[in-house]
Amino acid sequence: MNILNILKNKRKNKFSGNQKIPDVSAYLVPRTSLAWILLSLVAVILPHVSRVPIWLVVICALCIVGRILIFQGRMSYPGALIKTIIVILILWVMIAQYGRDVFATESTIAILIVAISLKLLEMHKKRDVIMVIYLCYFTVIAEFIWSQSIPIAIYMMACVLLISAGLMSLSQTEEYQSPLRTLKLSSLILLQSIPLMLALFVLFPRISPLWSVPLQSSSARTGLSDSMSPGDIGNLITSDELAFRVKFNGENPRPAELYWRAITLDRFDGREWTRGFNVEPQFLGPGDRDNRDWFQGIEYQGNSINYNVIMEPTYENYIYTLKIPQVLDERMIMRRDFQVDSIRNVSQRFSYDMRSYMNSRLDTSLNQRESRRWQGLPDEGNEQSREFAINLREESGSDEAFIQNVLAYYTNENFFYTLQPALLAGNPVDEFLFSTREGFCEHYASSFTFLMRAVGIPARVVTGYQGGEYNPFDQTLTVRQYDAHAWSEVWLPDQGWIRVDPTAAVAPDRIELGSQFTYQSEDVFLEDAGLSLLRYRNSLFLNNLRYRLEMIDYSWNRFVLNYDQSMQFAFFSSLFNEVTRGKIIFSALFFMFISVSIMVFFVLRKSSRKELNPATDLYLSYCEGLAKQGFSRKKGETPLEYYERLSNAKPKWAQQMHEITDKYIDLVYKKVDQEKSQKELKEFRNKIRQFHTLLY
Amino acid sequence: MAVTNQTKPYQKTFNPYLIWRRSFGEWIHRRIPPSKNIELHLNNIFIIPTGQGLGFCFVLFLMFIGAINYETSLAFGLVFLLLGVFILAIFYTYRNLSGLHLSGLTDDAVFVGENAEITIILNRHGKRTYEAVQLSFDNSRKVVANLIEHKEQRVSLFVPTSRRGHFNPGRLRVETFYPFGLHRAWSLIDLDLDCLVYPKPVECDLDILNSNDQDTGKINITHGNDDFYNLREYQRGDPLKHVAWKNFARGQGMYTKQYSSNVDDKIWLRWSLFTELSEEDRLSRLCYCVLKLDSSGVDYGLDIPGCLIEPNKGTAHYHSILRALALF
Repeated sequence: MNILNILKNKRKNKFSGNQKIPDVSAYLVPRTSLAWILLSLVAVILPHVSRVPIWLVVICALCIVGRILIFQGRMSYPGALIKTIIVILILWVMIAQYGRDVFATESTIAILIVAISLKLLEMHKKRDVIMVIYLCYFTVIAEFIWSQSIPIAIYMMACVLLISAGLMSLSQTEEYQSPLRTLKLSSLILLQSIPLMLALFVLFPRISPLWSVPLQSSSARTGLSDSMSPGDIGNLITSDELAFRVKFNGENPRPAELYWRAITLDRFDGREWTRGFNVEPQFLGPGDRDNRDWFQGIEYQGNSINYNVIMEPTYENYIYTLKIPQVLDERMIMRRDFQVDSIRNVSQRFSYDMRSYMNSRLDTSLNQRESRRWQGLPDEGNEQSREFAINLREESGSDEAFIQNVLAYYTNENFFYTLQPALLAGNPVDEFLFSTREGFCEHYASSFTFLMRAVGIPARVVTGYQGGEYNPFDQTLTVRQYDAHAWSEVWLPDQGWIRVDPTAAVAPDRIELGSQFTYQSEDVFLEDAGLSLLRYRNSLFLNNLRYRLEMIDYSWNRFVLNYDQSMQFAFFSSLFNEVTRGKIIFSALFFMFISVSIMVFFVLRKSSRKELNPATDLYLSYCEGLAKQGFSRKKGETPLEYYERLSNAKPKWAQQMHEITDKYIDLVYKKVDQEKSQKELKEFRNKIRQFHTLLY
Repeated sequence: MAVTNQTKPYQKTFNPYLIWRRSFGEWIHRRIPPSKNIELHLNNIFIIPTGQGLGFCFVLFLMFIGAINYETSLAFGLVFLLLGVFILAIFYTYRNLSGLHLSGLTDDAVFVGENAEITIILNRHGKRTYEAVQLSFDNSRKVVANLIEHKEQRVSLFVPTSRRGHFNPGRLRVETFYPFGLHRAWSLIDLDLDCLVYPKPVECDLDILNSNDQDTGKINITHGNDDFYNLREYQRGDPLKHVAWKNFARGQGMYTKQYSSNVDDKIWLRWSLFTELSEEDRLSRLCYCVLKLDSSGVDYGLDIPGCLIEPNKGTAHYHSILRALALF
């Protein structure tokens, strides 16, 4: 045999031996479907990107690229061994990354995202593809755990549309797929299911959570914490994040009066204020108020104000109240120090109604144990301040005068209010009071409380928010992180606890005009806010736009995101005089029936007239116009006959009618190419339009 | 008929599956009677969620649990929206069949073992379009029809035949999973199709036709029309190419050449030809003979119990004989 031939054969054999024979039995994802799926996957993962580790994003990207390569036939499905190694590796890294928090929501979502991405590499069967699509729906829900803002809602709707289009494309014939048609039909179906969604949303009974879910690992959050050391609150000022919104029933109090209490701090270690362990968890809900003797110390008097607060999640228990709150709600308790806590961790946006008596007195008498708690100081440290306090107390003569003198000391001694104070070491109170003399509200509150305790006056630090911004359009008060504040409360016999805000002595503008005006000149203010509209408060237009947007956002939060049992009940109460279970079920079924009937009507209605040539449609409208003038077309009369009859009766229109009839006959009976006929149709339409104007 | 004869023995044994099959068959026959042209509508479309649809519900359930646990309003909203999609999909899937007109054509006849080609004609009236409608018989492949731009589509289905006689391919399954694959809408329609199935030809020795035929003991039709046999006087109507022109040129008058197959073209295909064989085998061999005889151009007739067809030739004759064999 010829050598060349042998070589040829060898090569042939080698080639056929190495060539991968494509698995014919494997399900091939249609090209368009794959495009839809990858697109929706990217869209759905995108908002999660900032919350998951970067290596995870890289894995997702690699999986997507891998899937495309598999589709192109440039890569084969990974084998069982490789898959096992990948999964073990990822699990290992996950555990290393999240540690004990592997089962918290945050890491669960990360696992979900990895799982979908890896699933891409083993989509052998149609079932696998369906699974990926369903997991995408699930990822949409996962996003809602973190954010439910209007833009996110709109974006996620778009994602749902993409995913549904992907699902639809799977049951289409590959050659007949048209992305636009798929998108149109899926959006139509989604739109048509909105009535049912609304009905169910309003009427479906809301069930309280089945089990509690650990939400987040230890990632940083903005908000108050239950300790305060110099600089803590200053950090909040850089953020324009929403803390809570309030709607008052009745007249709005002045912002300067609004001291939103959140956390009461009683322990001081020389530098940091913390919340002691001995805060009795006294329940003071609606049914329990007479059982506690200390409760007698509250004298609810004067006018009350009622308000509704919607607070952003803090992942803590404290909630915001004005002095002195009266707890109306089963979901919260009031503690001995008048801090109100939610029974459950505020991990979701939380809406509550509250009543406060701003002019009441608190704790007109304080027993031994209680006062000791509010007088405690570390045994040593900050000696200079202690000495200063004792001397000043002796000079003053009374506690009231002492307080006034301390405040006067802040005012007169060139204290400086700044967001970027000098760092304090060693004895922070001493350093602040006698050398640096520049600080932020927590420096003032801390040093003031220290001075009070040094002479035995029961005193405590309260952190919370001060002021806020009223929206001129809907009168809601918006309180942001930069409104965070700290002040003191001191106890005086017969007067009870009174609020003293040393910051007001140093920087009265902070209280009177609000934080925005005070901090405007400082570099760090709104440092983390990015391109917030808040930066442009000087432009009237932009500022009004911002107010409008906030108003919409408030309604969204109030009526959509916080729609709960009580609102459901209120809705039914507005429908019926007396709400019974039977009525609720009946109306729920009724509304569902109505909405389903509407849907069915739209889907199944038969088109009343047959599909006609567009030219015929136009021609019929021309005939109709003439019929109104008394020249209706007889049954079976051809366009030409019709024209001839009319041209005799109405010679002044003859020219136009002739043109229209001619054109119509051309359009319907003459074969022309698509493009040309479109053009002619346009002309025909114009002619008919002109003729109609002629008729009237 | 043969068909009923064969199913009879099963009626005696208790077989729930067969009983169910039969009663279902009777029920569907009443429900959707056979017709040449069927429009799908409320009364003949069935609809049920698919496994994929149940999976969708399961995912919705999980999402609902999530919505409850995390108390996220938008998650509730999404679950309800998708539930709406699930319910709407029922109607959309139904709509993808309803109003569809179907009729069918078949081959006139095939031999046993061949596939009968069945052409289904789908028509739509009005604006409604139909997408991804799958058509199949019990033992045919699925064919997908799309009526989006066109008003009519024809699709061909091939159904294997296994028995001679009248062949009805069974009920046509028209089904669709469109738009989301969450539901399956289907109908089982009988388009009143009929295809004649001739017996399967089985090769046999054609000499048997000679040896057993008393009238013409010596013809050998296997030699075809080329073998010269003898001359006879020309008669009007004899093909001119068979005229012995050489003899004519010699002035011996007009003679027609006779070929072996033309000697006596009256052959009887008799039932008694294959005495030792079973009924079906006899029919198969007779069928083979018919095919051979038809291409050789002789006249042949059929003589089987209950059927006597005089010898003749031509396509019509050929088919009437095969028909007789098929329906024996």
